[in-house]
Amino acid sequence: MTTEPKNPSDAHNVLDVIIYEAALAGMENPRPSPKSDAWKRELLADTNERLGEMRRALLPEAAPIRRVKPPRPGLLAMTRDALIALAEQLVGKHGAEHVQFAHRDLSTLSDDDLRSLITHLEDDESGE
Amino acid sequence: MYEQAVVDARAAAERFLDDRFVFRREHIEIERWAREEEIDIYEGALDGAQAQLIRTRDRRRIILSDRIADHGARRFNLMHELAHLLLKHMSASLSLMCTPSKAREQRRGAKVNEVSANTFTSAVLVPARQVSSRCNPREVNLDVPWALSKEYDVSILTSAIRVTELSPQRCAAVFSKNGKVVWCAESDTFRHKIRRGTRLRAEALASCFFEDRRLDESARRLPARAWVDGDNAEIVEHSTPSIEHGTVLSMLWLPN
Repeated sequence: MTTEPKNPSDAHNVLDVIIYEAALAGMENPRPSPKSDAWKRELLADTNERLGEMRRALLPEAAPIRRVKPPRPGLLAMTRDALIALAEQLVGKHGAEHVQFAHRDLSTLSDDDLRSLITHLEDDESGE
Repeated sequence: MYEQAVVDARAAAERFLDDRFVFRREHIEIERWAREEEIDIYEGALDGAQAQLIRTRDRRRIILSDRIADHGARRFNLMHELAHLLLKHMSASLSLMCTPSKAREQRRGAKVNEVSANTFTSAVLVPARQVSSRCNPREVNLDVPWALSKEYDVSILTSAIRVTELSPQRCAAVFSKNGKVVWCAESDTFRHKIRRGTRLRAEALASCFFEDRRLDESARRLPARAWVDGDNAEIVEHSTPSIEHGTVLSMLWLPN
């Protein structure tokens, strides 16, 4: 059985008719054949491949890796306790809820690690 | 607590891979994913950790320690810090980060985020959808971990753990140092626990390395008691040493 589109020039209408006919055919023969299964898999793989290409095209290029800036001289003279206090103060200024730290294989932050951390937090505060 | 974190991290990794249409090895582009998240990557001296994430309201940075020489380890560290950001892990307090790790580990749940980030990272860098079928070989040994390590640019430790996670076979990856177990990753079907800190038994091939720095690097059948209790069958051990670090990685397999 076929149904003529009401207005063949209307692409949506043509698509409706094709879907309708495909649904009727599907109801008459509800078990997919190996051929239709293979076609479905191929179509899905092809569509995903194209979507993947489009998605990857949206990714920005990798930026070059930078060297960490050395700490300002004033930080070099500070004791560990003073460094921790300053870092906590800066976190407070940024708003603790907006600050996230994470480390992999953290033993403990050394004094130099704290100086580096403070340098980053101060840069962010000054908008550098 | 850890079990749920692992399940959640694996599910999150699958969603991440779906969102980025990662079908093949060349689609794993950590630096570009980091850039998409507006992360700046730095390298520098970092005494107390391998890598660090610092996020403020305006900036996101990942700092990689310049002590990491291995390319696979760098990729793992970068993805690990990215995982902390994507999984929105809460930070430890500064004072806690400044206490020695042993004291910190005693705090309940202090390591959950680390376990979660590691699980997410290995699931993204060595995707189950791409490698599962290779994790059920006729004979389990280090061949598949070596191949995955090269192909996916991860350390042999990461790929060995991943194989045990994905294999239906009774297998385990054991990492040892100074004659003791540092960690063990068992497959779901392994049904034995090799505990951290356990001294290697004399029958285990890996123990030879700690005796005289020599090791038979072929896969060998041994009595299962060389590694586990209560199993009279044979176990296959395939071990490889790192002379530089004084460690051994062993892949164990209990054939049915």
